[in-house]
Amino acid sequence: MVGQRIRQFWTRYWGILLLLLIWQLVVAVNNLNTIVAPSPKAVLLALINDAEFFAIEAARTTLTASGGLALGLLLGFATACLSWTAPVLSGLLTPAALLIRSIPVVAFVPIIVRVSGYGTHTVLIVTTFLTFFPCYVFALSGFNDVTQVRKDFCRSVGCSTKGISGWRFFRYVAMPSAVPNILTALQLLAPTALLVALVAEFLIGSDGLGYVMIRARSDMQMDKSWAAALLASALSVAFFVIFSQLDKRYRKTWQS
Amino acid sequence: MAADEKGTSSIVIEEVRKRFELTNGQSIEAVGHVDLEIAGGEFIALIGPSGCGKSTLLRMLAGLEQPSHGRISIAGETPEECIKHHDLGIAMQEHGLMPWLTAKKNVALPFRLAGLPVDEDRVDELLNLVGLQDFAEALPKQLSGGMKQRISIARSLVLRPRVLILDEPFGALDAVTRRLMNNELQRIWSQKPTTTILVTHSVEEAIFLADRVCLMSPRPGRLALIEPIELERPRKLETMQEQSFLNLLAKLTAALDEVCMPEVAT
Amino acid sequence: MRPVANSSKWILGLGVLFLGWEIAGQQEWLGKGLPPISAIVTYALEPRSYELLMRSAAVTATNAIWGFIIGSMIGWSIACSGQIWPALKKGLDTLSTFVNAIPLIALGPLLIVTVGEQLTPMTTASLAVFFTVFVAVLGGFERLPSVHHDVIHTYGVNRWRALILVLFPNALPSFIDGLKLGTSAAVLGAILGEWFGAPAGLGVLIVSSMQNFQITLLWSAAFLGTAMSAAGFFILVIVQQKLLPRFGW
Repeated sequence: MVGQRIRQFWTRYWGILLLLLIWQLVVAVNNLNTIVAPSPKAVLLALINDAEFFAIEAARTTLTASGGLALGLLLGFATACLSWTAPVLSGLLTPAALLIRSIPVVAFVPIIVRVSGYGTHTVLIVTTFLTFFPCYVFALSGFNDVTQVRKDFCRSVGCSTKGISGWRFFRYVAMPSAVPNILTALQLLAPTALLVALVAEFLIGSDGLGYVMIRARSDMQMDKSWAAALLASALSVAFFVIFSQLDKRYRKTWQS
Repeated sequence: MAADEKGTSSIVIEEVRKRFELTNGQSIEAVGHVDLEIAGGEFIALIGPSGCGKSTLLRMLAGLEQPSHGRISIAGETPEECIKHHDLGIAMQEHGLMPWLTAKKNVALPFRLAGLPVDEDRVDELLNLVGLQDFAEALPKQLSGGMKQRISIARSLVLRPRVLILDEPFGALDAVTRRLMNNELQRIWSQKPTTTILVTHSVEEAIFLADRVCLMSPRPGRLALIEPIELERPRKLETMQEQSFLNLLAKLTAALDEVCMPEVAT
Repeated sequence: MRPVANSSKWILGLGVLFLGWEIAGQQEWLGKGLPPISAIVTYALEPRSYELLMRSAAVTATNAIWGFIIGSMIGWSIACSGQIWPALKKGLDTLSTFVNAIPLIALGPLLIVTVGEQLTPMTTASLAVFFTVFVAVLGGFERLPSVHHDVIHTYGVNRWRALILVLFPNALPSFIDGLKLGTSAAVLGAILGEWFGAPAGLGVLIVSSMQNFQITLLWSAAFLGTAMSAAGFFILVIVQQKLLPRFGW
């Protein structure tokens, strides 16, 4: 039983363990100074010694990332609702949304920083802005995903399936149909939201893990900088895992 | 008029044609000149080869398509008006249940979509009628194919329609379940005979259920034969073994083969 | 997802977007941070800024293209390795997912030490690309109907041959889809990587112009980055349309 567990763990996580091992080996073999490249152990120690500091910074980053994600989702969803009733709006927004999806927006965070100024609020704005468009596209395509049979059924009970007069159809059929799409959007966007928050913190330099990463480096505290990076990665993986679990759990219901 | 007192409706189909415009500028005639009068409370089965325009005719009856020519009236109303008054129920081969709603909520959905207060008693009554009261809280994916179709039929009946439209509702079921469902449908229908039009591929099913079987020939779809079925009701599964049933089956199958033959030949 | 909107809608939407932008810029609705498009274009075409922009774009393009090539090769190899050595598949999948979940920006401090500031942009670009390609190829493999797997199995085809003869051709469309997504990922990776002390590139330009309030330069650099990823995208769209039909897709 235990042996089986270990084997399962091994087949799943050997790659990650290997990565850690290589890191430790490279540092040990080259006899690198901690200022150049800290070993896994040094990074872990830095994390533990400054646990409280890192916890606060991590909480800040998590809060802005999830706040931005929630806001972007809400706004994207609301705009998609409006678009559904007024196709003109979708004609205007969809090209912009797809354009934004095909360009490396994260790299242009500096522009938003420039427009809205330095400060924590900008981090939130940036995260919201970047999650807004994908949420909008996913939600809208979810609303339009209702099968013909379901539409026919709705029309047969005297319910319009288009425009304002179709609001009951929207409320009871189109909106619930979009749930799997929204779950996918969340799963894809959760790590992105965190990345964007980190990038904004990195550039603005107010607080949060992104800032710690760059600040510690300029102070020559490599272990601290790497610790922040590692913590950020762990957070990102956690975000991903949480939302893919959520997706797994609720998607089943939608498969008839 | 209280919903309970709603009667059944006679249907008049007059010189109905349906022409579809194709993208290349041509058009095809899916339904060409159909005349049919259906009495209130009558059960009509529509059979015919694939692509003969059965489903198009059905969709026109359900107000989902407009006839290019001719007129359909349901108790003096157009199908659209009929829909507005919630006098129409449909169930299709694809059940179209909402996967996120329980069986009970699926049955109650027409009330919500029509903007009416949900009549819980009516919903329970229908779940009882289709024999799924114990599965009220189950999600569609937890139900078998036959159960899903029963829920779909319950859903189509919940607003007390005066006309019931069924498009191959049992088409996706296995032969045994299908027969059981035929028996079920007859039972449900005979409790309160609603004017019903059933499209089916199965001649057996058509004879078992209908008062009249209409055979459609393809390209363009026309009624080639209308056969009254004078078997005594309630019909039982054993009825299917009786000589009178078998005679009808032989006759209609031969007629169906005949309208199909030109297709085979080409 | 459904194919979205028709071309007239697109032109209308983009027209309104650009017009609104121009007006907002002229009227300074969003302050000095959002200059009108005309100002950005004029600035970018001035000889001095033009040269600076082109030089930086060339650096970023090189980083992005190398990153794109290396990243897609890695993504492709990992996906294939999982097919050839099934025992490794789970571990490789998990590793790839985890590496992908690591924010690129968090890798900066590690990379400048391990590969150096010069190579960091290329590395981040390839890291950004590898996962999209990996997922796409894997998706392509999994799209194979199980009947084909049965055929492969019953004929006792060895894994290498199966990969070359059946699995890979079958995954080709999805591979190219992955490459399409990979173009913007490559540009993004290159630009982010250049933030960590690279000597030149659009990324350097973007950050320095942000810090020095050179708004039009900032926008011009962003425009170039966009144009770059769009160009890559359209090249692949053409490849997809010309090449795939030859393989019977």
